[in-house]
Amino acid sequence: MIQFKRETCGDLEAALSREWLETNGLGGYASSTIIGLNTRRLPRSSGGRH
Amino acid sequence: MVLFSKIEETLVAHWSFNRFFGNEKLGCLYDVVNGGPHDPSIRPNQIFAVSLLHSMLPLDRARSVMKKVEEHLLTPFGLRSLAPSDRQYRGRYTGGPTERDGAYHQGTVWPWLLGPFITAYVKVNGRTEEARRQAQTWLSPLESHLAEAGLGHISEIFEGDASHRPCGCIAQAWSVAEILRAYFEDVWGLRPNPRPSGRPTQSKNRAVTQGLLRP
Repeated sequence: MIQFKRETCGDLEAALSREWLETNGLGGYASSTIIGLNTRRLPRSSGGRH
Repeated sequence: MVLFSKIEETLVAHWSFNRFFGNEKLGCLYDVVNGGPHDPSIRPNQIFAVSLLHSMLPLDRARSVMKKVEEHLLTPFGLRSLAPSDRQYRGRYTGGPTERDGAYHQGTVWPWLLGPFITAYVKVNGRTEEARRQAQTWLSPLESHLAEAGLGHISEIFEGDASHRPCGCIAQAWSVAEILRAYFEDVWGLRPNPRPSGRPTQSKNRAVTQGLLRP
């Protein structure tokens, strides 16, 4: 299990750069940062850029 | 007679490939050979000429390519898309979409390319225990990355310059897939089991998915 303590959760920049992602295998997902502060409005896609 | 002809074709193909793509000055391969001047940019494309099952390269050239790629492109999180010594190199992935896309193939680190790099390294070093240990050492920095950006995932790219900030998608399937394959096949020496029948088998996950679709 990945755990974060006060030094990470209390540092806004460090906390916002750590995000969890839960997918359902059907294209649906839930996602946020480790402090529950949502930073993304739309899903980011990189399709076709390789 | 047919066999002789096939052997002859193979030898000619090997000779031609090395004749056209071999960059004797730099001791690696040209990136593009297309009628015009050969492109001497040091890019990771040449690693596939070593890593693929049937390689065109003799062992000494394969080792020389590995050395050049390790020296210019290898970072703790993958291979750079272009050598820092190149005038077109971009070490930072910043700015708007146009600026970022401009850096994407000009120095940005791609973690999935560690897969073919490690396959190539283990192969040219005779799949020894020592080579497998070195491969594991090269893969280990990615373990710390699992606790940053997308937790438990591997990012799409990293910046070419240290400290190699993770960028792009926070959870990229091809990054995860190639690192897992390199661990299985090259560090642990495992191969996927061939299916007992030619027909694809329905996996448990697929069955669950179908169950969800037809509640």
